[in-house]
Amino acid sequence: MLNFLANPARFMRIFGPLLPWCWAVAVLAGGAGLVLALFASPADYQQGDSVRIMYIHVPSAWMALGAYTVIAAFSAIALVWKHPLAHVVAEAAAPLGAGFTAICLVTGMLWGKTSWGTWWVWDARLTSVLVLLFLYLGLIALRGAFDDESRGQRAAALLALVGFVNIPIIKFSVEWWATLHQPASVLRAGGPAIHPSMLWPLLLMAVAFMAYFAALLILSVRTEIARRKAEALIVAGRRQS
Amino acid sequence: MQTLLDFIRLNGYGIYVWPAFVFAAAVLAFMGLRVRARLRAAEALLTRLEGGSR
Repeated sequence: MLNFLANPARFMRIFGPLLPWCWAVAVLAGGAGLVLALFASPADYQQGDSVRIMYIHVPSAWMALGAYTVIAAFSAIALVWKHPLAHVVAEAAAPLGAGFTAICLVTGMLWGKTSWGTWWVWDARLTSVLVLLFLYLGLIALRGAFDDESRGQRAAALLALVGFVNIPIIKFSVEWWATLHQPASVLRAGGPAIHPSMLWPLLLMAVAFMAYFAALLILSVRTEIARRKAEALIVAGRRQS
Repeated sequence: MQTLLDFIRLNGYGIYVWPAFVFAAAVLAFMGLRVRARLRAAEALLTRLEGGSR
């Protein structure tokens, strides 16, 4: 299967048709999720209307972790099986993951100010998510730090795999250490602990964020394939002249 | 009008909730526009090179 997808043209033939579906799901789920989040879902009995920040904070946090998992998985595939498109996917996902992590941190600070009375505390959850943002920025910087593109890709892939240790730390930080951050209330043993009137808009927003990420990832891979084709033509042109 | 103002104020939490939504929308829009601009530039370059190589 991996070899089958190694051909860029074949990869785009398979994933290209998914693009309009991703846009449609992002718009429909995002629209429905926003309406439910802002108009239909109730205010929290303790946090009041500040709980509405949850509908973008939690999905962006899931995407921040999900995008890094995608990067780590494709980095492993690139290092072990030398799959030519694996580096491309990992490279394309890094700026997207950084964007979702930035949303998670900033919305978390705004929510924290209303819930805890402070914008920031150096507790395990917040600090490990900040480390995740630095990992994303490091991956982006490392790829461009070498004249030889393949060395940059290899270095970034190794960093992605080493940095993956941070993902379970983020997930379980609220259980391993005493933190201000609340424990998981959706992805936990025993099922979600929040009322369906809040759970549905949250899940719809999460689906919208996932579809948006998938659409941008497919477009980014298409960009990289076009860029590589252009570079190959430039090199071929230089050899001829 | 009062209902709209109440909605914007969100019982005093509006000054935290709306910046969160605006920041998220801005970052998502920036990511989308950046990806689109890079794709257009790469495909334009490729089209130019393929035209030149014929």
